[in-house]
Amino acid sequence: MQSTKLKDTQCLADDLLETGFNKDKPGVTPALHPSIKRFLDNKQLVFSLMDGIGSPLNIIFPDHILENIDKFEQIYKDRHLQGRIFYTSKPNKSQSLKRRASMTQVGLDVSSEGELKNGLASGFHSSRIEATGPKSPEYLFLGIQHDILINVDNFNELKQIVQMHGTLNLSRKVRILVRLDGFKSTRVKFTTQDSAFGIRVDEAPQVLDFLVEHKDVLDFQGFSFHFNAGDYIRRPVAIEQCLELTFEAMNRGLSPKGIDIGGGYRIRYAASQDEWNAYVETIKASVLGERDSLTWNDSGLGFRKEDGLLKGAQNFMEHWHKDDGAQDLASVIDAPLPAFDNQSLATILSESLLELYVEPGRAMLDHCGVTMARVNLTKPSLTGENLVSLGMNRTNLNSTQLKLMTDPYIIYRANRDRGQVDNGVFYVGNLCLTHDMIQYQKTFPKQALMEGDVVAFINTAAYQMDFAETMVLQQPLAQKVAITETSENEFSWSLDEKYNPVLNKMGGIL
Amino acid sequence: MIVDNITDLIGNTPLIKIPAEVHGLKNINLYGKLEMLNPFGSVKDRVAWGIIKDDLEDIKKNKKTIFENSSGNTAKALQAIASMNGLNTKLITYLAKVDQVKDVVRMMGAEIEEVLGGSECFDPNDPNDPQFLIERAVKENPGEAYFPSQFTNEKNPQIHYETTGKEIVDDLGSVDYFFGGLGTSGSTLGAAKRIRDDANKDLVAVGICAAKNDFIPGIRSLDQMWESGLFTKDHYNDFVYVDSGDSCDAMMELVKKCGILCGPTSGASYLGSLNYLRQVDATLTTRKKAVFIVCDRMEWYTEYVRERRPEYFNQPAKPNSIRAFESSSNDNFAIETQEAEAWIEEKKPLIIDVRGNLSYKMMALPNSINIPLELLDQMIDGTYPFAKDQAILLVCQVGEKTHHYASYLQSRGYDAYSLGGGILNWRASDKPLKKVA
Repeated sequence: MQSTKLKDTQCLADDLLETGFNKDKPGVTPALHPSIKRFLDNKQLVFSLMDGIGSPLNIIFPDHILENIDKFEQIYKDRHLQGRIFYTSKPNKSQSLKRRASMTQVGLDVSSEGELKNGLASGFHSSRIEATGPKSPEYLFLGIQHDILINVDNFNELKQIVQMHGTLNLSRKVRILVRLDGFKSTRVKFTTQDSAFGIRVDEAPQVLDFLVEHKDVLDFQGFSFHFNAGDYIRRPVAIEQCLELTFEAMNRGLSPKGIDIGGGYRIRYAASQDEWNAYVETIKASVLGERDSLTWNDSGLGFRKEDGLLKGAQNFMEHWHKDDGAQDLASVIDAPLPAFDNQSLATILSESLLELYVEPGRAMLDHCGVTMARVNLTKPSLTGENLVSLGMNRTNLNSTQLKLMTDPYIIYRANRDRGQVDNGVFYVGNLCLTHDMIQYQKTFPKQALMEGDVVAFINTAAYQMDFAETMVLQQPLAQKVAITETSENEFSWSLDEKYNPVLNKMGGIL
Repeated sequence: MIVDNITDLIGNTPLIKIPAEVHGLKNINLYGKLEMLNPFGSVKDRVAWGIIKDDLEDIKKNKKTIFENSSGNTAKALQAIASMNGLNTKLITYLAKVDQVKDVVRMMGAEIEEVLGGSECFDPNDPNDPQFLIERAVKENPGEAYFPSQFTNEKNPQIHYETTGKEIVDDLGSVDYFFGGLGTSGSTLGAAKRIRDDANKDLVAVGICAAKNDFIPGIRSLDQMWESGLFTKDHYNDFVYVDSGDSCDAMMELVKKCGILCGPTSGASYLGSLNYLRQVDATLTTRKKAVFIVCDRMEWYTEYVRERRPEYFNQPAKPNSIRAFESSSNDNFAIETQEAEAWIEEKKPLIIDVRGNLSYKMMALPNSINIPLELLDQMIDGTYPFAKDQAILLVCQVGEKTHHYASYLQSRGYDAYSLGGGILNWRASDKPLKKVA
């Protein structure tokens, strides 16, 4: 009889996959842009930036946003789509990324008064900017004065715009989109999920009445919606209802130009699908007690064991998807719509000469940033785990909200006598707390870390590096440095706010 | 053969011996257990009936609604039984499913609810994971709800122990390898246990899995299996991953070479068994027997296969048809916007707008008629729907598709042209447009 393999050993599935997944030391290799790898391997530059500017340090690669913009634009071109891609400013405060993007054809989607000012200051003409989010009176005033396209979130805001228009005695109309939510379908029934965004679609008739009544003040350009990444069930229904309402608006004498389907396109953080799947399975097995724990205090990353069964759901993002970024958008706009004879949104819009507006945020920043920190000390925890204490804290990686599951890239200082690494490590931060966790999962570096080494978290530009940062405990905020690879393996750097892409292009001479 | 009830036909399925020249194994006889011959069309008929039959009287008496986490084969079988007995079902589901199966279940009267899950910007303070929502929906009305719970119900593997496994042993005696897709894990666990108990304690049971980001109906990834209450990893000797596209190819091999009109999940089991058995075949010195499950039928999966292997549907184009025609790159097929108005005035062409009716309705050239491309295709493929002395102007959104059609029609002697730049350019040049309806 063939010898049977036991569950603890590598099974045939692993051999077939040739992943070389190490079950003793599981990890998730990050998807790493070759240019970012070359930068991180330039140890002298990395150490001089870290030592000269301080920890934590966010590294921005402004040129990489062009690659993402190209991919989204190609989706439009391939389908003869008109309209605009609005790069969403919200996931990162960086100036250099906005300045670089302003030199392309994309628009900018801002979500606050501060972002609007920053967008204008970064080189975006007001005709290219769209204002979303909750609006303060100041935000609304600035937006209207600059003739910004305003994505209206609620009925009250519509009334405020009409009032403000009257007070300002403007001769031109205010350009608006109207954001809807609460879509329903007779075809698909789904559990309700509440949202703070938008006007309930049930109120659309009143919205249309209002838009018709105030036609001379409001230049209604279309309906909009936004769902988070991965929400595939509701999108086709929302698209169908927005289209139906768009045609109804036309029948009522309005002139909508297009529809806005928001953002929510994903990033592939992990380098390998197979490794990622094997890793998640290993986490689950560890929660069920089939192997030693892999999470801080056995906290389980959203999973728990109940009556011998695995319960709960992962509280981290999927790090690998079949379609990421622009391909994710393509799958949405190419999907057949049952309410429209199974035609796709792309076909309907292009045939009807309607425009498509999208607001990719996360996907626009794929491969645009890295967060680096200095190792301050290493020590064992109470239960004997290896702790690596970094010159950063959880607010510098948004660790409580979005858990980054990829292994960090480590830049070791040379010529040191490093001990054996027999077990994994947990990265903890500089907050005076018992559990300022940078990552909740144990990772397994190749060599032992020592004070002075640099740990780089990969692909952190979207929502990770500065979305939640605070000066808690008067710890410093991370500085941002913009890196340009001038020729292969040659890098120039500037402080993020000093980054000048025009001057760079002109060779520094004007 | 006369039966009283369709459920009497569940089970007792035959094994089919796959010819050696098809599978290519030297030392192994490979058999497919034809679960596709169950009356509702799949292996799940056994599970649905096995779980529900003893409770049926109680469900009917108390007018309970049947809840289940499925909108696939289990749902289909449950719904068939429910419909026959005048019962209501509510199916709650959050995994990817096959629309055609779902449609049939809906036609039979089920209410299907989709649970939103797996969002990337989830609120970490929200404890309502999808499984919890499913359980809550059931627990809210305990007196009126019946939950077969195929993923945790011990009757699921039990029915396979009592029937599927027994039938295999009765037909084959000893079996050395057993392959089944990992879904609820009921069939592999139950049938494999029976074979081990009755015939061969050294049976090698192999679970066929899908990669997590792939989708094979009724099969899960190993990682998702931890959420099935029945799953016991120790009971499997091994696991084999297969790709959904490759599974379609394997399915087509069974269809074409053996006349087994099975679905892609059966293809996955067949492919997984071959991948595994090819490795062990060379090391064998005695003859062995292997069984895989042919779990359901082909007909549901045309769209599924089309997505993964469109080449199976590419029928050769008819000679002289538009599909067989290759456009010439020459530019004599377009009337450009600036000259178009004068040209229309002079030639009085038949203006055919080939866009969808929705788009035409909202905005079109004056005096144009609407024949969407799908219809135009049928009209002009080898037939003669227009007079050859009548000028024709074809209009689409950018003038690209119509260029191809004008070029085709000219090749057949028509006086046909495309509006250059399409209606997009026309509108940009402020030329007259009308709203049709």
